[in-house]
Amino acid sequence: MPKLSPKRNEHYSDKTDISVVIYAQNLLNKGYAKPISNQYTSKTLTTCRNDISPMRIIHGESPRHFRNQLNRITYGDVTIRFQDGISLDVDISYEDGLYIAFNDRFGVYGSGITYESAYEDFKDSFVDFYEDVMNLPEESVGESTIKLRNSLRQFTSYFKK
Amino acid sequence: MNEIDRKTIRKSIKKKGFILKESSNTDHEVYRLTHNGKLIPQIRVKISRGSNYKTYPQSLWCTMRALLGLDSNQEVAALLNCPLSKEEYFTILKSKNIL
Repeated sequence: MPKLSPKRNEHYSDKTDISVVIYAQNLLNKGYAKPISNQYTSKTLTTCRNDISPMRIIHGESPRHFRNQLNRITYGDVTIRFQDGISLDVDISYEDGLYIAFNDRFGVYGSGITYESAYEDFKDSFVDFYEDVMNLPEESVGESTIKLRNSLRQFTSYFKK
Repeated sequence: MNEIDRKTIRKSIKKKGFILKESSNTDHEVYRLTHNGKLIPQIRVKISRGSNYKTYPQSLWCTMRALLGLDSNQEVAALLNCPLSKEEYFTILKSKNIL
């Protein structure tokens, strides 16, 4: 395992995981909630503009668990970029001899016997998940997929070389 | 419930309406849910083909929870081991507006 800091949340970032943003947006659309702040919008205008770090790390409660916050995912010739102030949270854990990298809300995960292989597997899975949701013909997918697609479109940009 | 055999997972999800995605990827298979002839691609199961994955430890299959649209590890275990029927699974997904 990588060396971890003894201080919990030492590198805590106030970026918001994209799955949380989409969940909140669904609640707003259904009238179940009202916005009380524009945190990620204001962050867009201030600190995020100068934030060029592609990754932040949050240390979890267990030394075998920590979290990365990604501004973008690059795998092969594809890059998926998240709007400023929004990240993709990737939890990394080590159990049963396997490294597991996963986003808890989308459920996308990757695994491997090394940290690097788990991380690559996660990126592969996320890009595959994203391309399926975004690119399948509209008539062949369910209504929930169309909703997720519209939400992802608002908060992400897709580039292919 | 600690480990689930890969073959059991494959057999169980096919019964629930998951179909194999055609892909050139040789490392793993991706199964996507179908319902009423429509694909629900965000509900999916990835099964690794590697020799390290003949059985899935709990730490790994638990991570499938959100990807399967379920809330608890017990539900995931029931789905992957087959006690949960296709109808019961779809009822859960409908209650969460996924279908």
